Amino acid sequence: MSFLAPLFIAGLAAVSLPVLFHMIRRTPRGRIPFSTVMFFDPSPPQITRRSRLDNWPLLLLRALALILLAIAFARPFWRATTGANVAVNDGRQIAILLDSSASMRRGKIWNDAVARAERIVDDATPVDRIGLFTFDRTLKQVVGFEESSSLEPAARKKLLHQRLAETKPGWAATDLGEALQYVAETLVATDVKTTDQQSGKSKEIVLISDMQVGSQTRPLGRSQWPADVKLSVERVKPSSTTNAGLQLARSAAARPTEEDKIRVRVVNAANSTREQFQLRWQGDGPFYSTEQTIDVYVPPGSSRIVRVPFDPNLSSPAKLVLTGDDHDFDNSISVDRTTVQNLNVLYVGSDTASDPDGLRFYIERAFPDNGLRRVTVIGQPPGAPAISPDTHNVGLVVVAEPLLEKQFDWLRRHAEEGGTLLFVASSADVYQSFGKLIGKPDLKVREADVAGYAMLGDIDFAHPLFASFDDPRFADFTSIHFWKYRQIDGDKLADCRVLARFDDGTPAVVTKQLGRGSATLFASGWHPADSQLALSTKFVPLMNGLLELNAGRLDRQRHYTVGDAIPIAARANESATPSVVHGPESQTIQLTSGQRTFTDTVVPGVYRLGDAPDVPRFTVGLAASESRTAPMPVEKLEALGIPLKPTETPATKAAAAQRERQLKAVELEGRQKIWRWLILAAIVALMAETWLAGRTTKQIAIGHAEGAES
Amino acid sequence: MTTSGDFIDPLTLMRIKSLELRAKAVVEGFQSGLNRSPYHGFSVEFTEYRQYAPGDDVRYLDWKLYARSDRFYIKRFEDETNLRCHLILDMSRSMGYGSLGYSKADYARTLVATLSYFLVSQRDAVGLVTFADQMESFVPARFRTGHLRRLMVTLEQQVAGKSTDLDVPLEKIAERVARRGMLVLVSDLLSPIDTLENRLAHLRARGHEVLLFQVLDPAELNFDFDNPALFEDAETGRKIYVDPNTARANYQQRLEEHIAGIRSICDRLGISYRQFVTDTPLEVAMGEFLRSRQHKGSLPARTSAANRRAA
Repeated sequence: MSFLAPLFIAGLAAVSLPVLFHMIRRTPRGRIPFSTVMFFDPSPPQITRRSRLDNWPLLLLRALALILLAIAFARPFWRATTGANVAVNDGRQIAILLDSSASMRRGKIWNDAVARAERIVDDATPVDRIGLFTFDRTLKQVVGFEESSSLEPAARKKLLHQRLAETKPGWAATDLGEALQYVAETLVATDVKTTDQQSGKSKEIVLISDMQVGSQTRPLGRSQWPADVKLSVERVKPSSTTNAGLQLARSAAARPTEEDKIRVRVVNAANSTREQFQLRWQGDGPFYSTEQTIDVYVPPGSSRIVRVPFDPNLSSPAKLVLTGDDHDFDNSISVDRTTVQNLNVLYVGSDTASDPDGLRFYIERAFPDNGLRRVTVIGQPPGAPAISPDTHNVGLVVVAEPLLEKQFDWLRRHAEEGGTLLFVASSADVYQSFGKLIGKPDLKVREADVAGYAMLGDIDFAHPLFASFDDPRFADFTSIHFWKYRQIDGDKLADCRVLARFDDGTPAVVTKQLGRGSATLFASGWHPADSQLALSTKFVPLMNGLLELNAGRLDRQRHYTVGDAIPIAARANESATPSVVHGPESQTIQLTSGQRTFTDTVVPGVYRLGDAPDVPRFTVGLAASESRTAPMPVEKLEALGIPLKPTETPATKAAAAQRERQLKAVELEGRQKIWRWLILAAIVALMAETWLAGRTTKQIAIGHAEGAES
Repeated sequence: MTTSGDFIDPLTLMRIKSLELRAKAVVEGFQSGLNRSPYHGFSVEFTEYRQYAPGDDVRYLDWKLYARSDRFYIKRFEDETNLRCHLILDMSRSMGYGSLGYSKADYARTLVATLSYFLVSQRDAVGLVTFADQMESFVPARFRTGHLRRLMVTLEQQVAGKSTDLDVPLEKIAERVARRGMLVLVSDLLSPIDTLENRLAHLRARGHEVLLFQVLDPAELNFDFDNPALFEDAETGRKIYVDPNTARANYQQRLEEHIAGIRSICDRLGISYRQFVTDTPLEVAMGEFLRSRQHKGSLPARTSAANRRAA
């Protein structure tokens, strides 16, 4: 028999209390000072009848009650009998989360990480469930819980070792937060699926990572971490810590005056021990040679922007290399020539570009040039016979006046090939032209009756045009007042998608897919006579959104990071979608038909879309965050609400074992509940004692009464 | 012991703080009864003529007698007062015991004070000796103004001594009280009486008349305790566990033997013995005192002289 609270056994000492009280009773109640004791017997006092233990059963009953109480409070339980039922090891549910981001390519830390994972696999008991996950920007399940638990322990171990050996670090950034969140949810979800018997498994994520400070932890603080999932962090460390990274600065060749230079950023990690680095081109060009190096001084923890001479007319991508640090996974970038894309916006209307009361005045200013794009607005007076078919690269056609019959054909064809048309209904006629284009020539358009002003409401933020406003900070369109707009009676535009309505429910922005392109209608103008739209901050993003609606973002950004999805949809006036992508290490990726984005950007370098010699190219580089390799304090995860499992030392192990024993004891005791019986027995003993004492007292009283009578 | 309603209850008497007032109360109450009593006035002057012998003080020659008879006679006065009484009070700790709300010492002190007051009011010379194991204080017998006050002050002293030892004090008294007179020993006499007879005989041999007043608490006589307790000797501090129910008979027997021993000593030596239980009114005690005096018949000196002559 064992005791849960053995200290209470000390209460057995209370058994001596009745005897002690008896002893105290034996001694005289008090001292009486007396004039002399010379007449008393000098012999020791006689043991009177009172001094003897004259009621043994009472004493024994009281002692028994005390003993039972003391043992009951000590919470006894039988360890041997029922221990077998409880001592079942519930096992653990372990998710091994292995960091496979680019920073794990440093030194030998990958091997170290794999070795640690293998050790965890080896240490696992047969009842444990193990899952293996790797993560960089995305989480990959290497071995799932179901798969591993369906195997015998030996086979499972072999499988895990084999999969671990096959795993290699990638080049992507580290999204630690998403990975942890997902794995934690997986742990909880797979546990719920299992039977009740197994829900007692302790859930644990073992994160094996270099814990670089550039890891993304964003989603962690937002949602509740499952309470029963513990995280233990196995941090792998490289032997040397100096690491500098090289990245293309955003808008690398933004300045037209500096076309012969690119801007690159050199980042030095916070725990670096060196601060002097060199930049050098690989390959030849007119402005640079491989011999020429540029010295860069970057203190640890900071970054520098360096302007590097560059040939803008480079025929093939060149490689810029940084030297001087310990780890070269982030030391090179591929730089391609920057081709400025010329886009045209056709404006079908008669007003001049300098008239602030017209519509064109604002269109001219809505498309600022950047290093990658140059937009020209071409006016097309409505009286002109037709839109010139020679006009290439038309990104957007703005229709501000009623169309002539001959213009319809070209516009319809342009739209069906992927062009974007925008009808600005500054008059009812334009509205009718839109109706005619979409096959509803008999629209009855009238001027809306506006009391004061109208506002936009019921905006469809799911549509790409308004998607960029889908944030509480930008979603407020009520500050834009509309004085005039046009409306039609009835539900004639049922087959069109209404992107926004005025506050009386009238459609304000309507779009209709036409072949691969689309036609969009604004039911009001943006010039001051109609509304405040042109003056609002929403105008430029809206117009640019329209421009990019079908052209995609390819033109704006030609440099991507590993893991980015690249839109490959063909634009209007360009060749058809390529069927193959050539990667940097001369691999060829076949695309399926209808594939609009390319996602296999797993290696940094230059990708070419298609087989032709002059196909579009784009470069894929490392994420800037991967170069921030200084270690992140584990406490940051704790601050985000993740309970960390304390690192195990012999002392903590012993403490944990002790705690576990104690828990088992508590559980055993809780099941057996011997204390209840003991308390019951104590109560019975006390009742017997009360009865016996009452009887004895009565007898004594009778004896006294009889004595008094006699 | 019977108490009369005319007398002051000892408990009430003991509540009077001043010992002198207490004594006065007793004596006046007693005297008011005394006026009707036949034992009034026993003080008589005594003179003696003796043939002059060379060496006698010529101041005491009775010249008138010489003129009449032509013989030299020395005129001898017995004393200026008719009685020289020394009151000997036991102040040991055993006297501090009392079961009635006042101790034996209180009672004894009042008794002594009353006697003093009474004797002083009769123009007798009263002295006071207090003792415990040693002689504590000694006030010679005088009759003068303020002497009563001095006696009272001496009596006010609290019980301070330890054990009762009659030997040394009685020996000292025998040395210091040269003139014959009356000695009144007030004590509980709860000490071994082996040597008591010798000492008292010594006193008697010096011509003193000795009165022995034993003051006892009723509890000491009856031993009416109920519960067993640890009885602590007030003098020696010795503790003895006693169950009164069983020990009572034995105790009372031994006490009676002790008292009987004292009585027999007194009888042998011609000492007047009185037992005062502290619940007896003092007037009664006084009455008994006087009765015993009357029983003796005459003045102490004369009695002693008569006895000697008779012997």
